[in-house]
Amino acid sequence: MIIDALERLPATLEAEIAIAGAGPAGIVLALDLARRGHRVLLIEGGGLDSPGDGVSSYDNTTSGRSYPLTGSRLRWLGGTSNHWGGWVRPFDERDFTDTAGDLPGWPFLVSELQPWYQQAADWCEVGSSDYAPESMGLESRARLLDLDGTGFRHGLFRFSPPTRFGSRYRDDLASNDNIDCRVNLNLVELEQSDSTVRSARATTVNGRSCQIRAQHFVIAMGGVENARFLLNQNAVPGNQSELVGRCFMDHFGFTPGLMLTDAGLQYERGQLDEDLMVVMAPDVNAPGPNCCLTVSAATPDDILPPAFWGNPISGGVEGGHYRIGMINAPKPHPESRISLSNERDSLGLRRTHLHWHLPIEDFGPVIELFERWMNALGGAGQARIKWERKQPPAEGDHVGVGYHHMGTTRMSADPEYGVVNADGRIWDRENLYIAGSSIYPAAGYANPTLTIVAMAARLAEHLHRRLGGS
Amino acid sequence: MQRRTLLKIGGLSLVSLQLGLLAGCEPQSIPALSVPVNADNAEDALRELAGNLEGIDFVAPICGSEFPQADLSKELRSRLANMAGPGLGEALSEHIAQDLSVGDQIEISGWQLARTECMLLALAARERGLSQPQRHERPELSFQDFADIDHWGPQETIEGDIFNPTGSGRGAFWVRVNKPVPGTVRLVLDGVELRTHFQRGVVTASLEPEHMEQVVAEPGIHTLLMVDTARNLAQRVGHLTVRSRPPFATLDDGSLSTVFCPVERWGPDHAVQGEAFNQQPDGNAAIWVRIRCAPESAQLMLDDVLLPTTVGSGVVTARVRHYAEMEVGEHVLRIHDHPSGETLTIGKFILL
Repeated sequence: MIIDALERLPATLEAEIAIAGAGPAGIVLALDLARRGHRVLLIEGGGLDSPGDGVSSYDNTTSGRSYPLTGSRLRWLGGTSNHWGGWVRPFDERDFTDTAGDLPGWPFLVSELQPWYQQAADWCEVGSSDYAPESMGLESRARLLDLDGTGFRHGLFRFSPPTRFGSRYRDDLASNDNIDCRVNLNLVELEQSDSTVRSARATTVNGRSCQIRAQHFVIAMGGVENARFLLNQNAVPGNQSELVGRCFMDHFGFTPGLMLTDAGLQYERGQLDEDLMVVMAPDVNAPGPNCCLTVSAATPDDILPPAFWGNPISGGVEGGHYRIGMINAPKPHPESRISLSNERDSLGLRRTHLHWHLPIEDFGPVIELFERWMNALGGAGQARIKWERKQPPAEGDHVGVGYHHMGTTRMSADPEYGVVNADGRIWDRENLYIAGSSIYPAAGYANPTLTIVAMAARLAEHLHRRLGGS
Repeated sequence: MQRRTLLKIGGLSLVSLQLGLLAGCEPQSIPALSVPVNADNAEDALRELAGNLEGIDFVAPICGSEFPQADLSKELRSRLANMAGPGLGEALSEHIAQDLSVGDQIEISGWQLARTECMLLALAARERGLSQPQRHERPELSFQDFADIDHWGPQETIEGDIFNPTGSGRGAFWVRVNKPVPGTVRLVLDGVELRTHFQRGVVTASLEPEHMEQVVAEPGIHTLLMVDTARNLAQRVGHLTVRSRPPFATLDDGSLSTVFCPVERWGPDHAVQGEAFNQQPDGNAAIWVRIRCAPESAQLMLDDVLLPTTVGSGVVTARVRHYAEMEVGEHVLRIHDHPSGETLTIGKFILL
């Protein structure tokens, strides 16, 4: 059942598992656990549909490099899946083995997530979980560059319809007898001992309030809101190393140049027989960050026109121009952080302040990677490259982002380097978990949603076992 | 090193001919390419080869100033002497690739050209008397139907209304195509290139807020083109019509609505109890209302039941999921807009 807390709210709500936040993570977790027979309370701060002109609870301030935080968060059933572009790709093997800047990375290998990625593909209605370029048809592969021996390889993105988790799974939430879903109900306070959460308090914007009792609590409010909620507690859970809110990351963009090569290459979505997009990324053991290069057909350049590629010492075939963009793996800088301003929202919670620290130095490895790719492609006789942007953006310059909020409650193998353990449980609380991209300690270049869903399905299995399931 | 000779992808090999055919042209055949580097006529062959290069009007004069040596062909031949390739073509390609892989490049307006390549271009400039860099001029746009367009929209809007809004004052066109179009395609409205995106079977393009404001400011017709920017081909998609804003509807209390225009038609206005009227593919009943202006947030109501509603261009539709439970008699159909609080009565739906 789904009930609007603005209209009806008992003094106490009780379940085996209480989940705060009905975005992709919260919805998948709730449905998975309920289907395993567990009683689940799912509360969502927003309503069933878009509130229209924005949500004042998300008003915030920012400093550091300019970041569009307000518009990148959505607060209603389905969360940010309501403006999701549908890009889907699992993290690469190396994303789990590389260190994350000066901090340790993931506490397990990609093999730990493989079974859950298959489930995630189903939740996200992707149709296939095969991301090997070899899965493409011969005709499609013939329209890619030959990267053999260049130190780079092709990678695939697939696309979800995109699944709007709120509308897609609304009937499932409403019809499952094990789920008590309350909308317009906001988790505001945890009643804690040193090691557990005893209960929680939730309120509505019209002044109703209730106590929530559960054996386990899961915070799945979003990449920014998870940290904000924890920081708003008198005793901040998981903050033994003062990492709650720190290491905020997002995939950042960089568009270094233009490529002249064969006409008719097909890397872009809408060009291929299947609903795919193809990118180029460094080989598994290549140095530097795991960034990717995107290829999009461009208007012909008037300095080195397509005819140049038709010369026998160049390509010898009809030429075409392609814009090269890069999606870049962010580094987790502790000074890149969510903190609280002194202003409070209508629920009494202190508002978010984001300081996005993306220093100029972080573009160095990105530019090096591009130069390596450029020389490799030229050396393989594949293309000529126009290097349009050799300098990183200045500190005050705008940088494109993916609206992927990650890292602010990072996962770690040791409490010294993170907020949650490998299960997603907050290190110093026995029954408090975090779900969503805020737990990512590293992020490669893949979009976060598929991994959010895979991790939520994995957490459902973990909680099921903790509750005595087999 | 030339990728034309063999392509290996995922363990599969395709001969050069296939790529040539895919790209729409066949490899050039110039006798000078096969002249051995150590042949007596190698320098003549290099000059002949340089004289045949295309697309070099900008870069060749600049390379010419980079390499002012008197005997360029001799120097170039000597540079190629150690290459493994038996003919000039292979030796040049090999050296060019080697230069590029080690970063031995000449940069021209950002383009990274191999030193060897630039020497050949310098030779070309001398052979052809190119002294001033000339940008390549694009030919005039010509009309040709190159895309298989199935359907497109929105085709009309009301004065002042952003069509197919995508947020932040933007709105977008969509064009369904039966076959993929080149990635160099852009949608162009009244000569303004739109930000164009591709999905499987669909091309979309959005208008920036300022542009949208201009387009919907005055009633009229705007031409939408699909342009292949690589081949300078244009295909007419159709015309967007911006209609004059009709007067607002009068509400039940006699006041003038601020969001709704008068309802033009609606249906069905009657049905048999228990039957799914205007049945949809999912088995549900549905109602449609023709109304020139209604906000995105509008919802149809039968009696006091809000219906899951879709607001389109000039038409509002809603599923009636509870049709089987409705009783015989009259049911009042209204349209309600939550943000403005306005409700407009449409008519009485009769269940027989």
